[in-house]
Amino acid sequence: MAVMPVGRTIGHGALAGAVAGGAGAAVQYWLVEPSIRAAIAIEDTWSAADHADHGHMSDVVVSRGEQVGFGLLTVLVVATLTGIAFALVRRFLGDRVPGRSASGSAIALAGLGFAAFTLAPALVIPANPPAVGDPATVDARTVTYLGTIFCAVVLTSAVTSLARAKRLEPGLRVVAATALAIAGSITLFWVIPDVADPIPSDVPAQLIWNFRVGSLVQIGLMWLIMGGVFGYLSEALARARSGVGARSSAQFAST
Amino acid sequence: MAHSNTAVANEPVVTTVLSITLAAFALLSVLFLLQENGLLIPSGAAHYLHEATHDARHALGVPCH
Ligand SMILES: [Zn+2]
Repeated sequence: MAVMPVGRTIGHGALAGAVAGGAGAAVQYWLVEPSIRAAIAIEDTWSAADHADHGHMSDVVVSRGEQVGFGLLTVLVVATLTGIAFALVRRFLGDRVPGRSASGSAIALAGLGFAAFTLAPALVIPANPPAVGDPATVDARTVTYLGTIFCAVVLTSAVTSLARAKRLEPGLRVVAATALAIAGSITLFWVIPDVADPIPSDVPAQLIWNFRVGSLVQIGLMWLIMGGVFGYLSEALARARSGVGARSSAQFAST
Repeated sequence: MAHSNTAVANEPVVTTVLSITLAAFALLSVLFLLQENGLLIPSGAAHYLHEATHDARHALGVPCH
């Protein structure tokens, strides 16, 4: 059975990522931008009160309108690149990814990606709108953010391969994987330093909440759509190859 | 890893290496796009990129300012 060309994998990944990015940009526009706008309005009242060095208003190289538009474009580009990486990882891992069909394992991998790349950093160092964040701590926060993702990827991979270790009997596998997931998560949250910035008293809690929920919805939806579209494309290809839809599950390992 | 790895096994090593490199490159590009602050490109251009990608960085939960 022929292996799918790498170019096809990349194409599917880019397409899945672009669709997810388009949807993500739409969610960002409708759900996240209102909070960003409100946060910038708060920053503006600070600059008006002569804290000109605090926000983004001190030296405008990109207007607010452009920032919104470029922001949506950035989401599209980021999602397309992520889709390519996702497809290549999916291809490299082959049947080490859980799931019985091409679409099932694409969704499963997207779910694991969401846990490691989105949920873990969101819990350790939650997203903040403008108006929150001390420029002096941005390096520590960025290192923590990337370090959390790295640790979460290692933990997620370990838990997944333990849950699928064929040397262990099924009952033991479940217990071992669950125990590792719980112990690992607790250890990570305990070990990783809390470097999140305090939220200024004049930024309403409701604004922070809306922003964080909007951000999680946006990224979560992007993972889901990326996995779904990629799974659909692999499934459609497997079906076209074999001519029989029911056999796609036997073929997915090579796509 | 004790699992079978059919997808990797029946593919030339060159392709696998290329795939990993490309995947890493794609992820590094994302990082560059979201976190460039004058390391790789002139600081003026980096500042422009930083401002242009600003809203996406916040929405995607990447630490900003
Ligand atoms: Zn910012």
